[in-house]
Amino acid sequence: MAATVQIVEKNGAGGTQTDKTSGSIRFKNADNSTVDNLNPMVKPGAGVDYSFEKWLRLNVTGGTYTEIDNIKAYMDGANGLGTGITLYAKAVTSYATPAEATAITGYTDAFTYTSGSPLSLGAGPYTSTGEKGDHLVMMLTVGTTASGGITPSETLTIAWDEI
Amino acid sequence: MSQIHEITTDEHGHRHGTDGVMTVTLRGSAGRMFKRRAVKGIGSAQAAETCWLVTELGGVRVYQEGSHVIVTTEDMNP
Repeated sequence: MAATVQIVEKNGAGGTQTDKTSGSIRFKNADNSTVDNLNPMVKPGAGVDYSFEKWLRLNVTGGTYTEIDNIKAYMDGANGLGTGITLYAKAVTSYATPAEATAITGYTDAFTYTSGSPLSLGAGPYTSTGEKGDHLVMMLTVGTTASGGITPSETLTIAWDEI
Repeated sequence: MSQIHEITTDEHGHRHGTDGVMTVTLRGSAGRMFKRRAVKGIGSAQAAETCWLVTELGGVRVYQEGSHVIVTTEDMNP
């Protein structure tokens, strides 16, 4: 007996869900979940290029469980995206249409969230089906020292307690 | 994907958590037992689910996954 869960990316004004549990998440200069080479991040002549926000959330689609608590997110602690590229994260309760970020205010370097110091996405308790906890909002910046091309991949962990 | 544990309570109030091979029993009503689940590798095709059974009593936690058991006071994540 366990909850059936997925990690969804939400896009558009209505927050259309796309299951990204085992799919790539492409940071780009557009609000969509498509993994393609359109609307790429651009290495700037000065300053940084901000991506559009990625809004991710735990979604319970079924199964049997009593409650979910203590949802959290973390990385491996080492930025492998390459020089000049930084990934940021924050927790947000209410959904808003993903927009192009304009500053890092309110965000924290995602790689500072590790298994020993994760980002809390809500203590709960949560019951029933549907989206649970806060949204994990992430965005990426490309600076002048970045190299061109597709960056190496990085992965994210989302964990929760369940009875 | 690791096996997701099942937690039950018997008629004496003892809690039992099992992955189908190993069973951990928490006797009495004190303490708590829960599953610590995670999806690791999100953003890649290698994403996989992990489940730890966590048994806590008197500030000491027992984490069990497969044949690996950790006893600690730390709050650990998969």
